[in-house]
Parts: sequence; structure tokens; C-alpha cells
Amino acid sequence: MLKEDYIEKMHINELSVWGVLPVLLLLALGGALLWLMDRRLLRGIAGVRVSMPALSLRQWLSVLFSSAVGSAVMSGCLLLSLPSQLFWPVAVFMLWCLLKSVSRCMLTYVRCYRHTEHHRLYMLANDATLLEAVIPCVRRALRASLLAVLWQRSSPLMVGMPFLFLGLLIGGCTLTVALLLTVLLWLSVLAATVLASVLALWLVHQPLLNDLEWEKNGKKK
Amino acid sequence: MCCLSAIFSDFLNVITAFAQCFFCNFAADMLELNDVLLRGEQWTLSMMARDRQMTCLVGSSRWLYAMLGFEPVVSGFISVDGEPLTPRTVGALRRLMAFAPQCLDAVGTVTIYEPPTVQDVFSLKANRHLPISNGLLSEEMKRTGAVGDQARLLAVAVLLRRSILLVDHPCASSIAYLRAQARDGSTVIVVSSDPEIINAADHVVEMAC
Repeated sequence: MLKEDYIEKMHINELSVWGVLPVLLLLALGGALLWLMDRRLLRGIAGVRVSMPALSLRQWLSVLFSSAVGSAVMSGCLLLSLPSQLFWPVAVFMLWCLLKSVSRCMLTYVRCYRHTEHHRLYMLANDATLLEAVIPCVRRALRASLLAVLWQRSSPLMVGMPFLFLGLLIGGCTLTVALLLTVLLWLSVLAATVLASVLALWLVHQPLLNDLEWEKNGKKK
Repeated sequence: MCCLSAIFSDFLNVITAFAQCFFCNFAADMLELNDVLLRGEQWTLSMMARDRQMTCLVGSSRWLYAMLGFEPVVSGFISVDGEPLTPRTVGALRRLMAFAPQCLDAVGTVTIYEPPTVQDVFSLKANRHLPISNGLLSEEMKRTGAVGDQARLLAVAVLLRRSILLVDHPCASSIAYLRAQARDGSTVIVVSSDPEIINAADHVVEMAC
């Protein structure tokens, strides 16, 4: 079979990992360079460094764990429509996106929790459940994590997405498949963000509540 | 026939009186602090707040938070109607109390702060059955004698219809309203150092400085 014929008949299931990986690496390098030029990466790293002292080790571990679970679950779901060789590139890409957005979510939650202490005590005093009292913080944190993804995606719309799209085309995908994959990946990142954020908040919810409530002191007794 | 109706009417009166006495006794909530020591405080506090009385506590607002179960008690105990306030009972006992803070502010510096609205309080699962409307709220706010946020917070606490009303630093213009609440059967506990409020209270508990 001629090479041209092969490219013409190439289907998504026939994508070779050896064809896609270098393209993805090139994309990552190109994207990183562009981001460096835009100082966004530097700002991102600075942001993570700034947020590190604000979060405890337990909170960071829950961010890592939930991001890993979220990316693994969504990459696993994507495998239903993608070849298995693509699992690792997709999972790593998703993990990178999730780490940023879930850490943003956690930081917003922790800050909101500290700032709204009077608010929370007022609600608890007037018969709110623990969940009802922290719902404003949860809402704000989820909004922050989704906005982080949308911000990440907004600049890639100008930089990353065309690269990915181009890379998929060079990797051998048809135009429709490349477009579908790009959109699918973006949607799955959004879904994974919600999943990982909820999981991370659930993991830190109870220990955080115990930080200030006297229930902890009562249990210690 | 006339005799029978008189006997029936007497019987009804007796039943009504008995029911009033019975339910009034059950509605009466007594909040007691017995040698309570809070973390960071030097002195213990013992006090008893009865229903139909306005008790003024001259001290820190922390004591109100302790009564609500938010401040750790180092020694002693707090009880409502003989039931001690413990992690297990705190949820049930909080259902007997309504709390009106002095104001609601964010802790530290924030760019945007959204304080809880009246709707937030009345949409809670435990308070959904309570009647609330803009008219009802504004009417109650006028009655409080206070203005602004303080009036709103006090009106909300009263509209929650709990038997124990905890008010943090009310303004002097709310004295008549608070006394009226006490007369209606509530146990009113205020924390204040305002001489007017101290004079108006039925029972004053002063912490040593």
C-alpha cells in the first residue's frame, strides 16, 4: 500500500503512539516556549509557589490525589473512543491541567473558609448543617477551579489548541477527527476538573472543619 | 341543660389552664453555666438565665459563642434545661437558640465579601417551614428600634421563633424590643457593657476584669 493511500485511509484507531508522542512533545515544547514568552508560565509557577505555604501538606496531598484520580478516570473514559496507546499522553496532559485548577480550587476554599468565619458561625448558630454553612466557599472554590480551566483554555485557544490540532493532523488524523479530538479533550478536562475538585474538597472538608470547631476539642477529651 | 353547659364550660377552662401550664413549663428553657472556664480566660463563670427574663452579661462575646458550642470549654459545663452541651447534644440544643451577632464582617482583607442574606437563613433545611416575607421582615425590623444590619440580624433571630435568644452587643434603642421578647416567654441573653442595657436587664452577670 502506498504511503499516500495509507494516510488517506488512516483512522483514529490506527494512530501510532510513536507518531503522536513526538508531536505532543514538540507541542509541549512549543507551548512552553510561547508561554514563557508570554510570562504566563513564570506567573503560574510564582502562583503555585505563593499558594504553597497557604496549603498544608494534607491539602496538597489531597490535591495531588484527586488530580491523579480525576485524570485517570477521564482518560479511562476517553479510551472508549481513543486507542489505548494514547492513554499516557492524554493522562499526563490532563494531570497538568488538573493540578493547576484543583490547587486554585483548594486555595480559594481555604482562603474563603478563613475569611468567612463569622459568616459560617452565624449560619451554624441559626441551625445550618456543616455542609450548608460551607456551601458558599464550596461554590466559590468550584467557580475558581472552572475559571482556571477556562483561563488555561483561553490562551491555548490562541496558542495550544491550534498546535494540538495541527499536531493531530500531522500525526495522521483526518480534519474531522482532529477537530473532534480537540473538543473532546477540552470537554473531558472540564469534566475532570469538576470531578477532581469535588473529590479534593470532600477530602479536606472534615479536617478543615475540625480546625476551628470545638468538636475536635470535645473528641480529644 | 343550662347546668350541663356550665359544667362543660368549667371543664374546658380547667383543661385549657392545665394545657397552658403544661406547655409553658415545657417551653421554658433555662440556660446554665456552671464554673465554666474558657481557654485564655482567667475567671470561671457561673450563671443561670431563665425564661421571661433578660440577662445581661458584661464581658466578652466569646461567652455567647461558648453557649452555642463554638468555644472550647476548659472546665465546667454548660447546660440547657439540665441537658449538658456536648459534641453529641450541641446540634439539638442549638435548635433551641437563635443568635444575633453585632455585625457580620469578613475576617482579614478580602476583595469581595458576600454576607449571608435573610433568604440564606430561611432557606436552610431546618428553617424552611418558618414564614418569611419582605413585609414581615421590614415590620419586625421597625419594631427592633435598631437600624441597618443590626436591625436585620435581630429581626431574623426573632423570626426564627426559638426559645433562647442570644444577642451580641445590641444597641440601646432595642431595649424595649428585647424586654418584650422576654415578656413573651423567651430567654434573652445579651452581652453588653452599655449602662442603659445593664440597667434595663432583669439579671446582670458581671465578669471581673
